[in-house]
Amino acid sequence: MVATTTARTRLSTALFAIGLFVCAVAALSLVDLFLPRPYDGVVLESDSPGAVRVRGVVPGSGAERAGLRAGDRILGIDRDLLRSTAHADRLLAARRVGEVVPYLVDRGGTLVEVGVRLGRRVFADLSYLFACLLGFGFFAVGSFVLRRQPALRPAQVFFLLSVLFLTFLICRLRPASYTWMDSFALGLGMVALLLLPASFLHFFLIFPEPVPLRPRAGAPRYRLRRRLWVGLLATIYLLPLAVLAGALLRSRVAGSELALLSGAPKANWWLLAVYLGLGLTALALNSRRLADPRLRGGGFLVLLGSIFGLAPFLAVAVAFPAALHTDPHRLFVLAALALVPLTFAVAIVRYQLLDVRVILRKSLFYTFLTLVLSAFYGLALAAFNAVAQRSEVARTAYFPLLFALAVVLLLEPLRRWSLGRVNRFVYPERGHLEREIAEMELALSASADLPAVVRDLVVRLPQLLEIRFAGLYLLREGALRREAGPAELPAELPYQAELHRRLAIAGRPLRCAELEGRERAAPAGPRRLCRQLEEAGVEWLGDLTSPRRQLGLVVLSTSSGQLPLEEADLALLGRLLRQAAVALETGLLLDERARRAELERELEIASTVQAELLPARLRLTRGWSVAAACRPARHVGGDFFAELPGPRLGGGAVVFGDVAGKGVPGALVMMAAHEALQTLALTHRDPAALFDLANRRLYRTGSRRSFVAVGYIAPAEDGEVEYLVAGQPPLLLRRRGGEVEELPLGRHRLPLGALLDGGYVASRAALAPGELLLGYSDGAIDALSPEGEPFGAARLAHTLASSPARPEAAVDHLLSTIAAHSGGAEAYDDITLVVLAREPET
Amino acid sequence: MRKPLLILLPSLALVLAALVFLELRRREAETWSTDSPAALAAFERGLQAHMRLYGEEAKAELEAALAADPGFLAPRFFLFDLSGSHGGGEEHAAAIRAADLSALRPRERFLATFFRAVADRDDERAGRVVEEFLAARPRDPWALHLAAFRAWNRAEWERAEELYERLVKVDPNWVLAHNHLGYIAMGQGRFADSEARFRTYAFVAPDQANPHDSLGELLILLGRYDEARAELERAVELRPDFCASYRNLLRATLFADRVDEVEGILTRAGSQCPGEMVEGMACHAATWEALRTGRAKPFWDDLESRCPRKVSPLDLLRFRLALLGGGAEAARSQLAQAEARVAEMPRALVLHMRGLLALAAGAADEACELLREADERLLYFGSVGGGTIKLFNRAVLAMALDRAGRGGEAEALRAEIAAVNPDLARFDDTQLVDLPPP
Repeated sequence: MVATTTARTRLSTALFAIGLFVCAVAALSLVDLFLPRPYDGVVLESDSPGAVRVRGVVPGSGAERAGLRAGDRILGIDRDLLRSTAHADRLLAARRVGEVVPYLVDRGGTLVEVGVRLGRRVFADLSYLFACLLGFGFFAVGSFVLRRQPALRPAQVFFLLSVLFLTFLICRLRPASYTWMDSFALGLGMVALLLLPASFLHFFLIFPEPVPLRPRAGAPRYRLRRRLWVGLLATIYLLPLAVLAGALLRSRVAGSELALLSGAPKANWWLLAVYLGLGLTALALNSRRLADPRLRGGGFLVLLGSIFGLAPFLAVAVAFPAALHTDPHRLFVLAALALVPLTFAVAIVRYQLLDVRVILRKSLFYTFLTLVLSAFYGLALAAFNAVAQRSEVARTAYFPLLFALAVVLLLEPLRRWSLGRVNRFVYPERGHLEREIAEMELALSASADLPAVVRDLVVRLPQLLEIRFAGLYLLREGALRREAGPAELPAELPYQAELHRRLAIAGRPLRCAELEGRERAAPAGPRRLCRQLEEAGVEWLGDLTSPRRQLGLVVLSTSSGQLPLEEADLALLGRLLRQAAVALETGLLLDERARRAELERELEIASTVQAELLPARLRLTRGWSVAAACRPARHVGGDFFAELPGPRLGGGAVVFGDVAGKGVPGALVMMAAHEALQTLALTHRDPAALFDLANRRLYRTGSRRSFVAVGYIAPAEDGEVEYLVAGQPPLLLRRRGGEVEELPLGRHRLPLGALLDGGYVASRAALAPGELLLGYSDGAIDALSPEGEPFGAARLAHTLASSPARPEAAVDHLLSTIAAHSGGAEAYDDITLVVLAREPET
Repeated sequence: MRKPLLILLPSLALVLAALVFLELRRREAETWSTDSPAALAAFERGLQAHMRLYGEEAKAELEAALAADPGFLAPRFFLFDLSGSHGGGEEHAAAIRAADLSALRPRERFLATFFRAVADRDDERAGRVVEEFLAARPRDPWALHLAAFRAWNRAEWERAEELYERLVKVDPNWVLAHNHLGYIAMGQGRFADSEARFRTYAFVAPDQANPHDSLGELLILLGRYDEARAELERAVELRPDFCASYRNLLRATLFADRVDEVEGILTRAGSQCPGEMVEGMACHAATWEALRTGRAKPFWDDLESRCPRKVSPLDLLRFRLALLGGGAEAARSQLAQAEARVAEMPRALVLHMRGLLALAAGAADEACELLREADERLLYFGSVGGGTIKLFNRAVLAMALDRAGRGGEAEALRAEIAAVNPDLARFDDTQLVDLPPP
């Protein structure tokens, strides 16, 4: 979908470029009318290709004075028989203004020779002026629609339609003379006229919704249908050209002149009528089947515009072709045509829920402004003429052009300066915006409520700016994550420091194009990010950076209204975003603090729960006393100890474990290990089997790094201890004499869950009465002093050696010694100690 | 996408290269083989003059071209062509014969070959050369011109018209083509077309008398005598020694019944044209007047003093005079002389004379047959008497039809004459039918 949108946007860009080129050609052809060159005052018949036939003469021109009139055919100029209009142009170019040139004219079969005095070309055709205005109006409306909806196919076809109309109106209806530009413009106008019906039909087939003929992605036999659709469109566009070629061929074979009706062969007019009939039928049927009344309304509006705008033009062009060439009548023929761009544009724009009232108001305003400027120009010209009447400058034919250019250059800064003010005057919404933003800024400065700030940015701001949406991205863990905004926006964006730097330098929101345009070689990262956002409909990017840190990005969509954001608005917006960033930061900090407090509360609870898992007292076997303690490094820890049924009947065992990892994740693994050992011990009392099974279960649970070091000690009444150490440090045995020794470890001593294969083997040791056995987790020996020195196994053994005989006292002694070593600092790792003492025989 | 481009682009380049090659070849063929810019400029001016029938000017320019580059052969073709009226063609013919054809451009080679055949008076070879070159280069103006001119000389009007039409499409300013197209159209009764051609000719060559003379001739035929006189006056104004125009001016004046102006015309012609021609014009005017006023007999009786100059036996005015003034014997005598000199075209004149005789003898049916046959042979443009002969023949035919009791046909015919020249439609020579049988 994104790729399709990008392709369509690119197509729109290409279309716009072509349209602009055609518009420039049309404008040049207009300028050409004013270029100083000898001119006889003849307006040539454009429907007689190859013949130099008079359509009319400019009042007061040499041709009029010589008696040339409509219908005359000029056969020769200046003693040369004409081969073409270009030939006539060359002949006249060789003469000077004021000279009398002989013309050979065929008037109804009679040849007459007249002398025509050459003058300057003048523009006295007001109806053509109207046609030009209409043409440029078409182009302006088409451009507006395309810029608003570049990815919308009907907007693209409408733009094509507008360009073709521009070409037809300016080039085909041109009061043509002999120059190459006249021939070129007429040819271009003829091509436009031929393609116009095709583009109309194309438009009717896709507006307001594509007719069912058009394939939809994913539909069955999509490829085949697509091929058929493309073939149909190609046929629609190529058929008029084929009909023209046929007409040309026919006239060539028959040896007759190609008869044109208002610029196209009769067959093409028939085709045009067929196209329009088909198109309007398709539009009517298509609109009827739509459920959305808004779309139906759009279709109906286009239908009305086509019927009332095109029908008079078509009827007159076909039935009374001369009317298009008769200057006083042409105005009436073309007048209704203005309905076409207006109704089509309104339909397309309404279809996209844009504000039509603003379009109309703006149109009216610019019409008024044009009148004022024209009056100003006229007055300035008159004033200049009065002052510099006798100067050479005023006499040159280029003077009006140069003067117009000078006026435009002078007025441009004034226009820029006044645009904002005028907009505020004409559009009261503009004043409201400033006030509303100021109020919002004030509210933000007093707010620390994060949801309120987000709401202001994402809900209220789009309403104020008349944009379709806004989105908020916050910088979290090195990426920009969508905090709020429509689902079309990407959920996550890569953080681009360069982008933020540029936005920060600008101090206001920027368009992607501006970001790229400032430096041609914009880095690829920001460019890609921009593209991604543009495809989602984003136009503006604003930075959210507080004085302390970067917080994120605000993205604003294209406008849904008519008013563009101006420099002053952007500056306001920049200020608002800075204020919002401060409010956002405060809100985030408060939010974070609240969340931390909540977390701490939750950890307390978890710690309590975990502590409750540990048995308060251990009663293993007669003749043994046991004590154990667990000190988690954080609120919740990964160490545990538990009492299990021992291998011998009636006997118990103690296990103590240390989970790789600390905090909440460690605690969760600890819970799993604890649960596994407890449940498996119910059915498997042999420690080796128990460890093998627990190992397999833990191996298959959670991540591969979640293994558990476990120690197992099962004392027997006879003083023998069966033990198994998997991943834990070796057990320490304090003999009656106070010597401390490590009990040997088994061959397989990897932590549970480290490898799938087990193979644990339990070991045995015998304890005499009064002897102590210490099991501990590595947190006991890894505890660091403030200087960074670990407590160490040697110090532990030494502490055990001096510990009291009772296990509870021994545990307390050991813990207090370790704590003293750490200097009160938070423990580096969880510490678990299990002390068993064989009671003296009584 | 790339594959079609790889095929399309070289194909386009190939087509473009072929077009450029053909265009260069065409241009090369149309150039003339001289390295001297002065010679080329003079030659082109000479050609222009030649094309517009400015013989003297053409000759001067072509000789200037030859002087600037003596090895330049092309001016000699046209100097040789002009030598028919100016003499001195042998030198050029010899140079053309001696030229190395391989060193010439295609068009020059064609012209050299053609003029060699002309110099050798080998008409068949000349025709073959033209047709072959025309087949190879159907748009070459010189080939078209020579082929059309040959067809014109052979009275192959359709062929000549087709070739001249092609020629004016290639070069609209080729004035001789317009002149001949005008006459062909005139001969076939397409008078508007003919007038357009002559006026076009006059537009392109405003300083030439010939187009005005041709136009005058046409306008006389159409009965627009005042316009004809204006055109002919324009002709003699441009070229006071253009004697054909004095002759036509006299005819127009006589047709317009402005007898009082005849003397002035004869005086003006007398100062510019050969004496015998002016005498002939005077005789013509006097005969016309005698016939018009019904005084043919006294005029015929005093013919030697009034018209001392011998006229052509094909002169129809003299024949009528002979018939009306001298009687059938005198007319038969002239007819016998005419028959002795008859060729294809004047054959119609002989038929007309016989028809007149038959009508005068009261053999209206026979007259109808003869005059009808004459009408079929006559064109509105002819070497003797112009198109008015055809109209006059038709007028007499209408009389004969009346006499033969075929009034309906006569009226239809008069309507046809009136469509061309209303004045001649009213012609009804009562003297002729009142003659006693021969």
